[in-house]
Amino acid sequence: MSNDIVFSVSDFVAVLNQTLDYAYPDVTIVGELSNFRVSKGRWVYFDLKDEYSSVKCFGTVYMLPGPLEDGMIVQVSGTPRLHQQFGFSVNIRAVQPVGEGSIKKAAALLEAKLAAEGLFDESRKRLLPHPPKRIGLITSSESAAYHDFLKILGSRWGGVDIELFDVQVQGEAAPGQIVQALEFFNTQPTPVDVIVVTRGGGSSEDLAAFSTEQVTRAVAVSRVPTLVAIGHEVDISLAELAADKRGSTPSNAAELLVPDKKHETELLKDARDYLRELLIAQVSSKQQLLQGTREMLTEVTRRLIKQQLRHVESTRQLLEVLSPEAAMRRGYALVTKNGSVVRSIDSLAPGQVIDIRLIDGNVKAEVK
Amino acid sequence: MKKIDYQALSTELDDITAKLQSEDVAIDEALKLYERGTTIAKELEQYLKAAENTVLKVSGAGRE
Repeated sequence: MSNDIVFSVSDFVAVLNQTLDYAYPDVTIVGELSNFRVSKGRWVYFDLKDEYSSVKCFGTVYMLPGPLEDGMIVQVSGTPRLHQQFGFSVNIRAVQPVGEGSIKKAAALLEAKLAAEGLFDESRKRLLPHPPKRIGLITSSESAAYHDFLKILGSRWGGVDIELFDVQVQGEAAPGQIVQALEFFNTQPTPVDVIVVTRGGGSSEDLAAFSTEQVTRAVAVSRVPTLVAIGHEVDISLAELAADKRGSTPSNAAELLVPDKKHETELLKDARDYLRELLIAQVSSKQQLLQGTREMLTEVTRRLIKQQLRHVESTRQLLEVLSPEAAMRRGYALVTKNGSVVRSIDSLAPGQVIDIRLIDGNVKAEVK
Repeated sequence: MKKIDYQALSTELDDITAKLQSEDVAIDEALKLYERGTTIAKELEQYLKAAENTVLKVSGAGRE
Protein backbone atom coordinates (compact mmCIF):
# COMPACT_ATOMS: atom_id res chain seq x y z
CA MET A 1 0.00 0.00 0.00
CA SER A 2 1.43 3.35 -0.99
CA ASN A 3 0.59 6.71 0.60
CA ASP A 4 -1.30 9.35 -1.32
CA ILE A 5 1.07 12.14 -0.39
CA VAL A 6 4.61 12.31 -1.71
CA PHE A 7 6.72 14.75 0.28
CA SER A 8 9.79 16.60 -0.64
CA VAL A 9 12.49 16.09 1.95
CA SER A 10 12.06 19.55 3.39
CA ASP A 11 8.31 19.21 3.46
CA PHE A 12 8.63 15.91 5.26
CA VAL A 13 10.86 17.49 7.88
CA ALA A 14 8.43 20.37 8.34
CA VAL A 15 5.40 18.11 8.64
CA LEU A 16 7.13 15.75 11.02
CA ASN A 17 8.13 18.68 13.24
CA GLN A 18 4.56 19.96 13.17
CA THR A 19 3.36 16.56 14.29
CA LEU A 20 5.94 16.38 17.02
CA ASP A 21 5.03 19.90 18.06
CA TYR A 22 1.42 18.88 18.33
CA ALA A 23 1.99 15.59 20.12
CA TYR A 24 5.03 16.37 22.22
CA PRO A 25 5.53 20.12 22.54
CA ASP A 26 7.46 19.47 25.69
CA VAL A 27 8.84 16.20 26.87
CA THR A 28 10.72 15.08 29.98
CA ILE A 29 13.18 12.20 29.78
CA VAL A 30 15.47 10.59 32.32
CA GLY A 31 18.63 8.88 31.19
CA GLU A 32 22.36 8.60 31.47
CA LEU A 33 24.62 11.30 30.15
CA SER A 34 27.04 10.27 27.45
CA ASN A 35 29.38 12.03 25.01
CA PHE A 36 28.86 15.26 26.85
CA ARG A 37 30.68 18.14 25.19
CA VAL A 38 30.53 21.92 25.06
CA SER A 39 31.35 23.71 21.82
CA LYS A 40 32.66 27.29 21.57
CA GLY A 41 31.73 27.81 25.22
CA ARG A 42 28.06 28.10 24.24
CA TRP A 43 26.60 24.98 22.63
CA VAL A 44 26.03 21.79 24.57
CA TYR A 45 25.72 18.37 22.94
CA PHE A 46 25.18 15.02 24.59
CA ASP A 47 23.49 11.69 24.19
CA LEU A 48 20.85 10.60 26.65
CA LYS A 49 20.79 6.86 26.89
CA ASP A 50 19.55 3.85 28.77
CA GLU A 51 20.31 0.16 28.38
CA TYR A 52 18.80 -0.14 24.89
CA SER A 53 18.43 3.30 23.38
CA SER A 54 20.15 6.60 22.88
CA VAL A 55 18.78 10.00 21.93
CA LYS A 56 20.77 13.06 20.89
CA CYS A 57 20.29 16.25 22.90
CA PHE A 58 21.27 19.81 22.13
CA GLY A 59 21.18 23.00 24.20
CA THR A 60 23.09 26.04 25.47
CA VAL A 61 25.39 26.40 28.46
CA TYR A 62 22.87 28.75 30.07
CA MET A 63 20.52 25.90 30.84
CA LEU A 64 23.19 23.90 32.64
CA PRO A 65 22.83 23.69 36.43
CA GLY A 66 26.58 23.24 36.70
CA PRO A 67 29.33 21.12 35.21
CA LEU A 68 28.09 17.71 34.10
CA GLU A 69 29.89 14.49 33.41
CA ASP A 70 29.30 11.37 31.41
CA GLY A 71 27.72 8.68 33.51
CA MET A 72 25.47 11.03 35.46
CA ILE A 73 21.76 10.31 35.51
CA VAL A 74 19.91 13.42 34.44
CA GLN A 75 16.38 14.54 33.76
CA VAL A 76 15.97 16.72 30.69
CA SER A 77 13.00 18.77 29.55
CA GLY A 78 12.79 19.95 25.99
CA THR A 79 11.28 19.77 22.54
CA PRO A 80 11.94 16.90 20.12
CA ARG A 81 12.83 18.09 16.63
CA LEU A 82 14.02 16.75 13.35
CA HIS A 83 16.69 19.17 12.22
CA GLN A 84 16.83 19.97 8.56
CA GLN A 85 20.44 18.92 8.34
CA PHE A 86 21.62 17.32 11.51
CA GLY A 87 19.01 14.72 12.19
CA PHE A 88 16.85 14.16 15.22
CA SER A 89 17.61 15.75 18.57
CA VAL A 90 15.83 16.95 21.65
CA ASN A 91 16.30 20.72 22.11
CA ILE A 92 16.90 21.02 25.81
CA ARG A 93 15.19 23.66 27.90
CA ALA A 94 16.31 22.37 31.28
CA VAL A 95 18.52 19.62 32.62
CA GLN A 96 19.21 18.56 36.15
CA PRO A 97 20.94 15.62 37.75
CA VAL A 98 18.68 13.08 39.41
CA GLY A 99 19.39 10.33 41.83
CA GLU A 100 21.63 10.67 44.85
CA GLY A 101 24.78 9.62 43.05
CA SER A 102 24.47 11.97 40.12
CA ILE A 103 23.42 14.88 42.19
CA LYS A 104 26.33 14.45 44.55
CA LYS A 105 28.69 14.04 41.64
CA ALA A 106 27.41 17.20 39.97
CA ALA A 107 27.70 19.11 43.20
CA ALA A 108 31.29 17.89 43.66
CA LEU A 109 32.24 19.05 40.17
CA LEU A 110 30.64 22.42 40.64
CA GLU A 111 32.11 22.83 44.09
CA ALA A 112 35.61 22.23 42.73
CA LYS A 113 35.05 24.70 39.90
CA LEU A 114 33.69 27.47 42.11
CA ALA A 115 36.18 26.85 44.91
CA ALA A 116 38.97 27.32 42.39
CA GLU A 117 37.46 30.71 41.57
CA GLY A 118 37.65 31.64 45.24
CA LEU A 119 33.90 31.94 45.76
CA PHE A 120 34.05 30.08 49.07
CA ASP A 121 37.11 31.86 50.52
CA GLU A 122 36.88 32.82 54.19
CA SER A 123 38.32 36.23 53.38
CA ARG A 124 35.23 37.07 51.32
CA LYS A 125 32.88 36.51 54.22
CA ARG A 126 31.48 39.60 55.91
CA LEU A 127 30.11 40.06 59.40
CA LEU A 128 26.36 40.26 59.68
CA PRO A 129 24.76 43.19 61.52
CA HIS A 130 23.77 41.90 64.93
CA PRO A 131 20.90 42.44 65.48
CA PRO A 132 19.65 43.39 62.02
CA LYS A 133 16.81 45.89 61.64
CA ARG A 134 15.55 44.71 58.23
CA ILE A 135 15.77 41.21 56.82
CA GLY A 136 15.16 40.06 53.26
CA LEU A 137 13.75 36.53 53.60
CA ILE A 138 13.82 34.16 50.63
CA THR A 139 11.85 31.00 51.30
CA SER A 140 8.59 29.24 50.63
CA SER A 141 5.81 30.75 52.73
CA GLU A 142 4.01 27.42 52.66
CA SER A 143 6.88 25.58 54.32
CA ALA A 144 7.42 24.52 57.90
CA ALA A 145 10.84 26.15 57.62
CA TYR A 146 9.24 29.56 57.18
CA HIS A 147 7.08 29.17 60.26
CA ASP A 148 9.94 27.72 62.33
CA PHE A 149 12.20 30.60 61.38
CA LEU A 150 9.61 33.24 62.27
CA LYS A 151 8.73 31.53 65.52
CA ILE A 152 12.29 31.25 66.79
CA LEU A 153 13.08 34.79 65.61
CA GLY A 154 10.04 36.17 67.40
CA SER A 155 10.81 34.39 70.64
CA ARG A 156 14.36 35.70 70.67
CA TRP A 157 14.06 39.26 69.41
CA GLY A 158 11.63 42.00 68.40
CA GLY A 159 11.48 45.10 66.26
CA VAL A 160 12.80 43.39 63.13
CA ASP A 161 11.13 44.16 59.80
CA ILE A 162 11.04 41.05 57.63
CA GLU A 163 10.48 41.40 53.89
CA LEU A 164 9.41 38.09 52.40
CA PHE A 165 10.13 37.13 48.80
CA ASP A 166 8.10 33.96 48.34
CA VAL A 167 9.78 31.36 46.09
CA GLN A 168 9.65 27.71 45.22
CA VAL A 169 12.46 25.96 47.05
CA GLN A 170 12.54 22.81 44.91
CA GLY A 171 11.78 21.84 41.37
CA GLU A 172 12.69 23.20 37.99
CA ALA A 173 11.53 26.76 38.58
CA ALA A 174 13.27 27.13 41.93
CA PRO A 175 16.76 28.28 40.90
CA GLY A 176 15.42 31.03 38.63
CA GLN A 177 13.07 32.32 41.31
CA ILE A 178 15.75 32.26 44.00
CA VAL A 179 18.14 34.23 41.77
CA GLN A 180 15.34 36.69 41.01
CA ALA A 181 14.76 37.16 44.74
CA LEU A 182 18.47 37.74 45.42
CA GLU A 183 18.58 40.32 42.64
CA PHE A 184 15.49 42.02 44.07
CA PHE A 185 17.06 42.48 47.48
CA ASN A 186 20.30 43.69 45.91
CA THR A 187 18.63 46.41 43.87
CA GLN A 188 16.35 48.05 46.42
CA PRO A 189 16.99 51.80 46.91
CA THR A 190 17.53 51.14 50.61
CA PRO A 191 18.90 47.61 50.92
CA VAL A 192 18.03 45.33 53.81
CA ASP A 193 20.68 44.57 56.44
CA VAL A 194 20.89 40.87 55.61
CA ILE A 195 19.34 38.37 53.18
CA VAL A 196 18.24 35.05 54.64
CA VAL A 197 17.79 32.10 52.27
CA THR A 198 16.36 29.07 53.95
CA ARG A 199 14.40 25.83 53.53
CA GLY A 200 13.87 22.70 55.55
CA GLY A 201 15.15 19.18 55.05
CA GLY A 202 14.54 16.97 52.03
CA SER A 203 16.14 14.59 49.58
CA SER A 204 19.13 15.51 47.45
CA GLU A 205 16.73 16.27 44.62
CA ASP A 206 14.66 18.51 46.85
CA LEU A 207 17.70 20.53 47.87
CA ALA A 208 19.36 20.53 44.43
CA ALA A 209 18.37 24.11 43.58
CA PHE A 210 20.72 25.40 46.28
CA SER A 211 23.71 23.67 44.72
CA THR A 212 23.13 24.99 41.20
CA GLU A 213 25.71 27.28 39.67
CA GLN A 214 23.33 30.19 39.12
CA VAL A 215 22.05 30.25 42.71
CA THR A 216 25.53 29.78 44.19
CA ARG A 217 26.93 32.60 42.08
CA ALA A 218 24.01 34.88 42.92
CA VAL A 219 24.68 34.35 46.64
CA ALA A 220 28.42 34.93 46.16
CA VAL A 221 28.01 38.26 44.34
CA SER A 222 25.31 39.59 46.66
CA ARG A 223 26.32 43.03 47.93
CA VAL A 224 23.97 42.54 50.85
CA PRO A 225 25.38 40.08 53.41
CA THR A 226 23.78 36.65 53.21
CA LEU A 227 22.86 33.93 55.66
CA VAL A 228 21.91 30.64 54.01
CA ALA A 229 20.45 27.68 55.91
CA ILE A 230 19.37 24.69 53.87
CA GLY A 231 18.04 21.38 55.10
CA HIS A 232 19.34 19.65 58.17
CA GLU A 233 22.64 19.81 59.99
CA VAL A 234 24.39 17.35 57.66
CA ASP A 235 23.27 18.96 54.41
CA ILE A 236 25.73 21.50 53.10
CA SER A 237 24.67 23.08 49.83
CA LEU A 238 27.00 25.16 47.67
CA ALA A 239 24.93 28.26 48.30
CA GLU A 240 25.70 27.84 52.00
CA LEU A 241 29.43 27.64 51.23
CA ALA A 242 29.21 30.87 49.22
CA ALA A 243 27.19 32.70 51.88
CA ASP A 244 28.66 35.06 54.45
CA LYS A 245 27.25 32.83 57.15
CA ARG A 246 25.81 29.34 57.14
CA GLY A 247 23.00 28.10 59.34
CA SER A 248 22.50 24.39 59.84
CA THR A 249 18.69 24.66 59.88
CA PRO A 250 16.05 27.39 59.56
CA SER A 251 15.77 27.51 63.36
CA ASN A 252 19.54 27.79 63.70
CA ALA A 253 19.44 30.65 61.19
CA ALA A 254 17.15 32.58 63.53
CA GLU A 255 19.48 31.85 66.44
CA LEU A 256 22.50 33.13 64.53
CA LEU A 257 20.73 36.21 63.27
CA VAL A 258 19.58 37.80 66.51
CA PRO A 259 20.59 37.71 70.18
CA ASP A 260 18.36 36.18 72.83
CA LYS A 261 16.40 38.90 74.54
CA LYS A 262 16.27 36.96 77.81
CA HIS A 263 20.05 36.89 77.86
CA GLU A 264 20.31 40.53 76.75
CA THR A 265 17.92 41.61 79.51
CA GLU A 266 20.13 39.87 82.08
CA LEU A 267 23.19 41.60 80.64
CA LEU A 268 21.44 44.97 80.80
CA LYS A 269 20.49 44.43 84.44
CA ASP A 270 24.11 43.52 85.18
CA ALA A 271 25.24 46.59 83.28
CA ARG A 272 23.06 48.84 85.43
CA ASP A 273 24.39 47.26 88.64
CA TYR A 274 27.91 47.63 87.37
CA LEU A 275 27.38 51.29 86.49
CA ARG A 276 26.20 51.94 90.04
CA GLU A 277 29.25 50.20 91.46
CA LEU A 278 31.50 52.24 89.19
CA LEU A 279 29.89 55.47 90.33
CA ILE A 280 30.31 54.51 93.98
CA ALA A 281 33.92 53.61 93.29
CA GLN A 282 34.49 56.96 91.59
CA VAL A 283 32.97 58.85 94.53
CA SER A 284 34.89 56.87 97.13
CA SER A 285 38.14 57.32 95.26
CA LYS A 286 37.53 61.06 95.14
CA GLN A 287 36.78 60.97 98.88
CA GLN A 288 40.01 59.14 99.52
CA LEU A 289 41.89 61.71 97.50
CA LEU A 290 40.27 64.43 99.58
CA GLN A 291 41.14 62.65 102.82
CA GLY A 292 44.71 62.24 101.70
CA THR A 293 44.98 65.91 100.86
CA ARG A 294 43.51 66.84 104.21
CA GLU A 295 45.99 64.65 106.04
CA MET A 296 48.84 66.06 104.05
CA LEU A 297 47.77 69.62 104.88
CA THR A 298 47.60 68.77 108.57
CA GLU A 299 51.05 67.20 108.52
CA VAL A 300 52.57 70.13 106.66
CA THR A 301 51.00 72.61 109.04
CA ARG A 302 52.24 70.67 112.04
CA ARG A 303 55.75 70.65 110.69
CA LEU A 304 55.64 74.37 109.98
CA ILE A 305 54.48 75.09 113.49
CA LYS A 306 57.21 72.89 114.98
CA GLN A 307 59.72 74.68 112.86
CA GLN A 308 58.47 78.04 114.09
CA LEU A 309 58.54 76.92 117.68
CA ARG A 310 62.15 75.81 117.32
CA HIS A 311 62.96 79.15 115.80
CA VAL A 312 61.29 80.97 118.63
CA GLU A 313 63.07 78.82 121.18
CA SER A 314 66.51 79.41 119.70
CA THR A 315 65.81 83.14 119.50
CA ARG A 316 64.80 83.11 123.14
CA GLN A 317 67.99 81.31 124.05
CA LEU A 318 69.99 83.83 122.10
CA LEU A 319 68.25 86.68 123.83
CA GLU A 320 68.94 84.99 127.10
CA VAL A 321 72.67 84.86 126.35
CA LEU A 322 72.73 88.44 125.18
CA SER A 323 70.78 89.83 128.13
CA PRO A 324 72.38 92.22 130.66
CA GLU A 325 71.55 89.81 133.47
CA ALA A 326 73.53 87.05 131.79
CA ALA A 327 76.50 89.44 131.42
CA MET A 328 76.23 90.54 135.04
CA ARG A 329 76.23 86.90 136.16
CA ARG A 330 79.53 86.55 134.38
CA GLY A 331 80.91 89.51 136.40
CA TYR A 332 80.14 92.48 134.22
CA ALA A 333 78.70 95.60 135.86
CA LEU A 334 76.36 98.22 134.51
CA VAL A 335 77.75 101.68 135.20
CA THR A 336 75.41 104.68 135.18
CA LYS A 337 76.02 108.40 136.01
CA ASN A 338 72.95 110.47 136.77
CA GLY A 339 70.79 107.79 135.30
CA SER A 340 72.64 107.47 131.97
CA VAL A 341 74.71 104.49 131.02
CA VAL A 342 78.44 105.09 130.99
CA ARG A 343 80.10 103.40 128.07
CA SER A 344 83.48 105.18 127.94
CA ILE A 345 86.01 106.37 130.51
CA ASP A 346 86.13 109.66 128.58
CA SER A 347 82.77 110.56 130.01
CA LEU A 348 84.15 110.29 133.56
CA ALA A 349 86.20 112.76 135.62
CA PRO A 350 87.73 112.27 139.07
CA GLY A 351 85.39 113.15 141.86
CA GLN A 352 82.20 112.25 140.03
CA VAL A 353 79.78 109.87 141.64
CA ILE A 354 78.73 106.86 139.64
CA ASP A 355 76.21 104.03 140.18
CA ILE A 356 77.54 100.52 139.83
CA ARG A 357 74.94 97.89 139.37
CA LEU A 358 75.89 94.25 139.96
CA ILE A 359 73.76 91.11 139.74
CA ASP A 360 72.86 91.25 143.42
CA GLY A 361 72.53 95.01 143.98
CA ASN A 362 73.72 98.62 143.51
CA VAL A 363 76.64 100.58 145.01
CA LYS A 364 77.63 104.21 144.73
CA ALA A 365 81.29 104.98 144.03
CA GLU A 366 83.56 107.99 143.54
CA VAL A 367 85.90 108.18 140.54
CA LYS A 368 89.54 108.56 141.59
CA MET B 1 6.80 51.23 69.40
CA LYS B 2 9.53 53.77 68.95
CA LYS B 3 12.25 52.65 66.58
CA ILE B 4 15.64 52.60 68.22
CA ASP B 5 19.04 51.72 66.92
CA TYR B 6 19.74 48.88 69.32
CA GLN B 7 23.31 48.36 68.23
CA ALA B 8 24.22 52.06 68.41
CA LEU B 9 22.75 52.49 71.90
CA SER B 10 24.40 49.27 73.06
CA THR B 11 27.76 50.57 71.87
CA GLU B 12 27.18 53.89 73.61
CA LEU B 13 26.48 52.00 76.85
CA ASP B 14 29.78 50.12 76.48
CA ASP B 15 31.63 53.40 75.95
CA ILE B 16 30.08 54.93 79.05
CA THR B 17 31.06 51.90 81.14
CA ALA B 18 34.63 52.13 79.85
CA LYS B 19 34.83 55.85 80.68
CA LEU B 20 33.53 55.29 84.21
CA GLN B 21 36.17 52.61 84.72
CA SER B 22 39.01 55.02 83.99
CA GLU B 23 40.70 57.06 86.71
CA ASP B 24 40.51 60.57 85.40
CA VAL B 25 36.78 61.39 85.40
CA ALA B 26 35.60 64.46 87.27
CA ILE B 27 32.85 63.74 89.76
CA ASP B 28 30.10 65.70 88.00
CA GLU B 29 31.07 64.12 84.67
CA ALA B 30 30.84 60.71 86.38
CA LEU B 31 27.35 61.50 87.59
CA LYS B 32 26.26 62.57 84.10
CA LEU B 33 27.68 59.40 82.58
CA TYR B 34 25.97 57.25 85.18
CA GLU B 35 22.63 58.88 84.48
CA ARG B 36 22.92 58.55 80.71
CA GLY B 37 24.09 54.95 81.01
CA THR B 38 21.20 53.98 83.27
CA THR B 39 18.72 55.67 80.94
CA ILE B 40 20.07 53.77 77.94
CA ALA B 41 19.98 50.45 79.77
CA LYS B 42 16.36 51.03 80.81
CA GLU B 43 15.38 52.06 77.28
CA LEU B 44 16.94 48.92 75.82
CA GLU B 45 15.26 46.71 78.41
CA GLN B 46 11.92 48.30 77.60
CA TYR B 47 12.48 47.77 73.88
CA LEU B 48 13.23 44.08 74.42
CA LYS B 49 10.06 43.65 76.40
CA ALA B 50 7.73 45.31 73.94
CA ALA B 51 9.13 45.19 70.40
CA GLU B 52 7.49 42.89 67.84
CA ASN B 53 8.68 41.64 64.45
CA THR B 54 6.71 42.50 61.32
CA VAL B 55 6.44 40.54 58.07
CA LEU B 56 5.86 42.24 54.73
CA LYS B 57 5.46 40.24 51.53
CA VAL B 58 7.47 42.11 48.89
CA SER B 59 7.05 39.72 46.02
CA GLY B 60 6.04 36.24 45.13
CA ALA B 61 7.89 34.82 42.19
CA GLY B 62 4.65 33.17 41.21
CA ARG B 63 3.73 29.54 41.28
CA GLU B 64 3.57 27.58 38.10
